[in-house]
Amino acid sequence: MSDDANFEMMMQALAGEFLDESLDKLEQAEECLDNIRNKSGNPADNLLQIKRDIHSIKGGGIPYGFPTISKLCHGLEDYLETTSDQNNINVDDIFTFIDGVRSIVHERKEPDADEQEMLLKSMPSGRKQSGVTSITRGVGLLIMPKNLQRKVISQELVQMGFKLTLEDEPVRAIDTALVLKPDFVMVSMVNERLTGIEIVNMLMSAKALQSKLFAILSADDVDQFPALPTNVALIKKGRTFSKDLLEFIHKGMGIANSQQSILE
Amino acid sequence: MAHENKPTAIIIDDMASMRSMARVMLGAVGCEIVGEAENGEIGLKLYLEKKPDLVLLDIEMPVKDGISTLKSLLIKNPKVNVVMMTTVSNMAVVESCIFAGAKDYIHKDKDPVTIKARLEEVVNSIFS
Repeated sequence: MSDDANFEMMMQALAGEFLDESLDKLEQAEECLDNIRNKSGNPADNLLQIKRDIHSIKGGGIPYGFPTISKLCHGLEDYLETTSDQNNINVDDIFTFIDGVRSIVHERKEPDADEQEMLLKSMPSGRKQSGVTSITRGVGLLIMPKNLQRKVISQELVQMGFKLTLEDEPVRAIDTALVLKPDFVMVSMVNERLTGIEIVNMLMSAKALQSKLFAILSADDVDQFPALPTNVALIKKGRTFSKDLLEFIHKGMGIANSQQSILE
Repeated sequence: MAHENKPTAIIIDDMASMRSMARVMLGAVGCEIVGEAENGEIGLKLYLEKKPDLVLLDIEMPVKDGISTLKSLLIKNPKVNVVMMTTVSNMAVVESCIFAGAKDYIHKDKDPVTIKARLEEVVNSIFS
């Protein structure tokens, strides 16, 4: 047996410890959620503890052979990042994510590709209207470095009714796109290691993603990018951002009356 | 590895299962684990007690997080070999850690063979 195979067997033997510990962290997160619901203790402290627990579980999912656990935890982090009102989070939505993680922990088995896609798509988006989750217009993947601009753009898209997954690392983003098969993918031109056009070209070459919509986010004009594929939209950051974004959403998603952008 | 004896290491991470993973990996790349801690405060005491050649340090921890632990370790020993353990989404914090004096970093949210290969590369670069 090779060293790597031997090593992987040792890791598999430790997976039970990870699952048991995840269960403890989930229970701790649930207690914090109950505290938030019952207005017991400081809500910011409770939310911070939930974020810590989820982040800890996320870190172990991939090395221990449970990438869907990591993706669900990542989804919850995205949900919290795109929820504009951190003081008024929807406890039931967070429970939905936690239940999703718990179902895999209890099964002690990574879901197959179809189950994985279904589970990820069934998670809530951050958009709320009068406390009721609205109908989702579609699923999007936003690939751009973590910064204020990403926060603004993601909250904008969530408010427009899209369920959004956020990624800032290109290789992981490609994996997420293949699992999630989102309706649209928006990629920042500037990323770690790869340009937006390189990422889009890789994604568009995958059969599972050929019918999807792609857009590049950039501060430059379209004529600066002769290599931009013709079927990829350019959404220009700055003055025309909202107009370009709405145009992409309207044309691409077939939405006739999207709500006005909060950026306008 | 050029080191005459096995380099000694401690692991500081709040997740017991991540410490287990790190223990297996450090052992596989030729290090001797001389202690583990679940947060930076305990980890700092452990470092002073064991004086290991290497500290594998998680970033997000309760009580005392990775970056403040790194700074405390550097005050105690400016030549301390600290390798940060992080998830991909923490890259901005990792850059701060490297700027502050960490020797290197490894992503812990990768498949185990990739993490081990990266750890081996990092350990070899520090001790060769």
